[in-house]
Amino acid sequence: MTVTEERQAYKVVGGSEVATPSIHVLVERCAGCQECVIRCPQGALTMNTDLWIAKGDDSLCVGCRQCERTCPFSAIVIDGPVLAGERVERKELHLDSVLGNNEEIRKGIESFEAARKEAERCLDCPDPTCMRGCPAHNDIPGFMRAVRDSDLPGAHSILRNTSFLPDICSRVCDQAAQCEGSCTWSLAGERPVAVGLIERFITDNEPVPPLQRVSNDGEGLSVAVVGAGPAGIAAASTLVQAGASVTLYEKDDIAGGLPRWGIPDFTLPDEVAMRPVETLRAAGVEARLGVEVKDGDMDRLLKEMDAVIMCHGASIPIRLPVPGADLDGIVDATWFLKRAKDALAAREGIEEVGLAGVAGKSSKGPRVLVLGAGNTAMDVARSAMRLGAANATCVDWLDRKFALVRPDELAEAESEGVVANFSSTLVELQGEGGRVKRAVLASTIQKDRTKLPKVLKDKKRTVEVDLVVMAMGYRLDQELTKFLPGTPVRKAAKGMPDRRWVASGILHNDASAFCNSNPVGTLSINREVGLVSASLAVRDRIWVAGDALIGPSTVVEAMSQGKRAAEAILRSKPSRPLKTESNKSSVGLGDTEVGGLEGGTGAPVMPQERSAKRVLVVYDSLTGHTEKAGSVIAGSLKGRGASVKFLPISRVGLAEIAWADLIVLGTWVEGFVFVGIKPAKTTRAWMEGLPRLGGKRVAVFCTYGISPRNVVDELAKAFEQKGAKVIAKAQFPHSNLESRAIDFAATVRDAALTPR
Amino acid sequence: MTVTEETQTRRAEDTVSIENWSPEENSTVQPSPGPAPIRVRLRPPERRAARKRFAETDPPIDVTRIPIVGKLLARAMQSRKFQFFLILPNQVIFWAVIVLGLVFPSLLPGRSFGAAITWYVWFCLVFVMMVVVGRAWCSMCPFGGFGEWIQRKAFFKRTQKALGLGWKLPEKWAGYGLLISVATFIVLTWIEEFFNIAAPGPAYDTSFMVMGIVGSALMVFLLFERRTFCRYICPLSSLIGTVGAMGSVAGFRTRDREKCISCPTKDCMRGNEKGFGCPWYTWPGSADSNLLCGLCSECYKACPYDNVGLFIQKPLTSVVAPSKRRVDIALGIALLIGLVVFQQVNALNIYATADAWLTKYTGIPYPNPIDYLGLIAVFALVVVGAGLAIRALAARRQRVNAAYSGSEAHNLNGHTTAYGEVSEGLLINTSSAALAYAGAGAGSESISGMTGGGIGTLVRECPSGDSLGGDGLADLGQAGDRTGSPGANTGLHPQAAKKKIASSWKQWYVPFAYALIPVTAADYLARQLPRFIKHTPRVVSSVLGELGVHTGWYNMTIFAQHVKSFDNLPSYIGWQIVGIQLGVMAIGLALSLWVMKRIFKRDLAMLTDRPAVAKMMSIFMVLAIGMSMLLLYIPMHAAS
Repeated sequence: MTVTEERQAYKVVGGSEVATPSIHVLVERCAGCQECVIRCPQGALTMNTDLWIAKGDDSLCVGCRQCERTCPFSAIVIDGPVLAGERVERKELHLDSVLGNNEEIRKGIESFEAARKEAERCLDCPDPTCMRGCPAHNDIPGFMRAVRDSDLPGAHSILRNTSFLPDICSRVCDQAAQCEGSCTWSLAGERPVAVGLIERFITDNEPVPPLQRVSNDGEGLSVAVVGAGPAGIAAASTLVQAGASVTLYEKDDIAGGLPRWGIPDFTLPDEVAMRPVETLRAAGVEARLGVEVKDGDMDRLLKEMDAVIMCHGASIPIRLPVPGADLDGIVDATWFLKRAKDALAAREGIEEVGLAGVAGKSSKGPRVLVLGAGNTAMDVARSAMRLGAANATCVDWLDRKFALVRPDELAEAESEGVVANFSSTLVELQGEGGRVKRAVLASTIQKDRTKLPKVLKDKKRTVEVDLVVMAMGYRLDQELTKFLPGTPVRKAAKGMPDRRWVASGILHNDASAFCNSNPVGTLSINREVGLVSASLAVRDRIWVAGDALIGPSTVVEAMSQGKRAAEAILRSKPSRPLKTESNKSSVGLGDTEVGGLEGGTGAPVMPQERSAKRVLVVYDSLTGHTEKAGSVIAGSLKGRGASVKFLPISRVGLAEIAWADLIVLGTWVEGFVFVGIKPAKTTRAWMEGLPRLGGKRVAVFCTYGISPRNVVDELAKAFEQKGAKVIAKAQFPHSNLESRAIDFAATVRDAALTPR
Repeated sequence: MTVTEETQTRRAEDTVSIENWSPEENSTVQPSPGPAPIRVRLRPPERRAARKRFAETDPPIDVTRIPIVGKLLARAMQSRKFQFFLILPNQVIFWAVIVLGLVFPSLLPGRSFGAAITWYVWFCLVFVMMVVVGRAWCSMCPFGGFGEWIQRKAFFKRTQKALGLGWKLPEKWAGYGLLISVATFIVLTWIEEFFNIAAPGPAYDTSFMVMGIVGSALMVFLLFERRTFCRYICPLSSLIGTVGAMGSVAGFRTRDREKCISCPTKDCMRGNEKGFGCPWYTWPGSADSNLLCGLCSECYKACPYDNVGLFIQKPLTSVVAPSKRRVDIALGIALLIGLVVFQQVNALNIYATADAWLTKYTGIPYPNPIDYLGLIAVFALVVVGAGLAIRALAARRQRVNAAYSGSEAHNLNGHTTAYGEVSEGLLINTSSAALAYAGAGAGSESISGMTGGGIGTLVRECPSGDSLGGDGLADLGQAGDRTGSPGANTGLHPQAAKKKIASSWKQWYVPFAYALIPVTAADYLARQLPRFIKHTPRVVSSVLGELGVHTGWYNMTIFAQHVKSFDNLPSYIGWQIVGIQLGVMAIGLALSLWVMKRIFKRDLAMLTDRPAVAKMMSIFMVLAIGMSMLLLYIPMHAAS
């Protein structure tokens, strides 16, 4: 039976035909744009070419409503059920007792048969929303297809194309807010394809491949990666695959970052968490453990290395400043999780975790209060239960409907005896003899996902506690942030969403109730901001990725950003000022010197500025003069191995800027004769919205009728403030546009395009 | 291999990565790898059929490419303030109508600015504009404009969030298309007759009416998205759309359809930072008539690839050529003719007698809705009947295999269709039905030569349309069988009984009704002419009067003399007006006859065995209807 036939068979459930969906095209309004025709997963829509309208074949329709979501004129309506089929669920593990049990609690799919069956639920959408929902943009329909074809190695290599941590991600990702939430079935209100389970099935049953060289783009590059968490590991892997030499700096004694120390073994076994680190080690990446990079070290690092990627994460736990917060018996999640993890691995009890003093007199074990009810808080509470706590209560001021925890994580925690109190917050801690004894809680109310809850001070209650763990999340290390201008980046997309995202339909609906009704479209489009920002240097030769860039976030986002930053480095090929023998002796970071540097003669090597491969010519034109000058420049920069984009300023966003190695900006000059001469208003607004352009090469010009004053210098200064390098500037009078533009293009070409 | 499998294989071959797609490969720009490497495997869109299908209606001249004037217009249209400045003057005038009507309610009807501008000048000017340009009025309409300002919360700025509920017109209503607008037009005309607003009545009546229109428009704008009001509900929409089809402005259309079809974003429909998505639910990429282009220039602003132009066409192209004709327009024309003929009859003495009799028996005073609606219906039925009469006399009965005709009559979408008809809801493609018949005529040849081209053509034009999706071979057999009948029998259906099926009424009536558009337009214009000619000069004096300017000097001018002369209305001037009316009607009728001839050749000739008779019949029917409308102007004697 073919896939299609089998899918069709869903229409017969339990031997009897179920109601089938039917397609209604509003012929009067259908413009025949074919947006639905090209996106229908089933091919149920074709064109009536005589009337130039879409027409549907009900017998093929599975009711996924992709057409409704994509139609620009709302000219199509589907009636009837969503034929999503039965979702394969993971086998529940019933624990007799959680105490001391460190076994991985979530099981994968048991049989290939079940995995294939689930993969067959994938519609293989022509415009897959799951890929947009996945921060790593994994080719989900691709590996689903491979699983359907029983090609696990193929599926695994598709996964590895975009993800370095598929085994970790499949365990710790909140799929409901990402791939599964944006699955077509989910957008149609049904249960999505179990993408996470399939991903896990693939990685559980396929060996981790060694890192292989995929290109020579990074030949001769030496890059320092600060922080060996998901972002750093992923960045290092991408760089190594291109032949760059990478040095990892990690302040902990063990590499791996939060997935290793922050996630308990019963969710993510150590063995899995350490796999990528071992893969890197096998590929010859040098890791310097126990070395903390401070802002004072940056200059030295930059002198020794061609580029630096900062992936130091957001490691400072947030503490709630309530009265009594300085009592004994109040710890933060990092502290607790690190110790709990070791204790559980060694099968010790809570007494041995260094918490002996807090145990209290109760024979049942200490009563633990966890502040926060996110994923970290659940990890803390569940670890505490395993260590023998009498009870573990999480309090969170968010409403349960808008909780940030994974839905399955919450369900598991509650089945293990963890109590989750949403809509309540801690207002005061009271102690006895310097030790925490009681916690005063107040109720809160939250009506909207986007609004903060309100605390109802008059609804208070008191609970007895022995240990309080603050697990409300983390924040950035302010010291390093100061050194990295423009961070943290606010992960919010500005302006109108990209029409390609609109067309895919991901923004049309929220996810199904099964997926927590997450606003997946907005979430994913906001994540794009982080991803693009990662590929822009914040200073010359310094990139930032992961939590360090966008604040506390997820493993998969950190990983994708790390890869983006690494790819940006491979593209722009930065180079340190002087590569000399003498540098070697001045190494001060870590215990060994930075190796692998060429130039053994001791003679200074000239700095190498790579020729720009991607040129973006941006123009802001009023009368067409600037556009004309721009097109002359773009035309004469074309060729010479560089690709040139020539765009009006209104169409240049983050993505285009991230793409370019060299930006040429042209503007008209605002003002009256000699008064109020400025760059055009749109240009100034655009400049203000620019991200950091660490070391990006820029050329500016303006066209003017009477007087340009110092418009070009003003622009150049603004660019320099953003961290860009201005390589040329010029101003053209309208009368002598073309020849001046050609001269200017020659200057730019000599400065940035001629390979040396 | 099942159909879906086939499409899936096809899909695998035609992978298009939309994120990487760039339509600008021509000049200095090269495709970029893009920031979000999302592999999009879109199905290939239908392109092949597009070129041939739109060849006839694609207009030749892009105004924005004309040197100097066109360039200036292009620059103006790029500005978001373009439409605002079109609307603004009209907005001022109509608020003045409202306010002045309420401030000076006691003025003599003929002396009030509101009544004068509304009933003497405006309607006539709009009408001339329609005939020449199409929906030019819609782009500057103060009623829709006002609603849109509120809905958008801006005069011209591109705002992101709309005010109001943003509903879509339900399928049930949208299914009536422009017939809703015809209905509101008939109701509005009745109200106007009932309160005697247009005669003109007291000034405040005009104020209230204009306020009513603004208010209801605003309400619809706040309930529904985009210009649902203008497209479906506005009383003038059907008339402007229908009559505007004669115009030589084709509206905003694509410059390169291929680009539009493969456009990954469709900004013109969805809107972007520069422009709103088309308020009229029209896509420049597929527009084949100026019927629903509101000339608002949003798509022109929004297109990121500079692929939309403002085109002009030969007059009457949108009447003669569109292959997608609309049944609602065809029925609407009958009703519009009914309405205007009613108004003509209304001016006759005989009507007054009949109306008095009716009033006596029903107790409802003038305008009695029974005779109002009744007469409109009667006149409309006459028009429809004329179309059906041609069919009754001239349509060919085609013998086909019953076995096939069964599936034929019940096509994919469950609508019963006649032989060779390509229709769906309100839409009908009359020219392609004719092509199918042409195929039928040459059936035996196609059967014998079952080679690629011929069969391909047949299959593609198979009216039921499911041949592409069905089992290829069986369908070829069916298509062949159908086209071969009655002569050739492939033997696939040995026991098939022969059955007679005729082309449907729609296939005959719709093209016929389109041919009546010019004469209808002429009739509406001719009826307005007496008012326009007689009273336009009063506008100046009424404006001055309401501004408090002493009009003594004005009475000395030639305009005033003119007005005075009409107040007395010597009979020779009445006859002069009748002469003009008859001239206008004659031009309209002549155009209608010419259009009928063209449409007959294009859409109807293939449906009949007796083309000469059918042609004579259809031309005679147009002539008969047109002449009756024309001759009514003589007894009316320039009555307003």
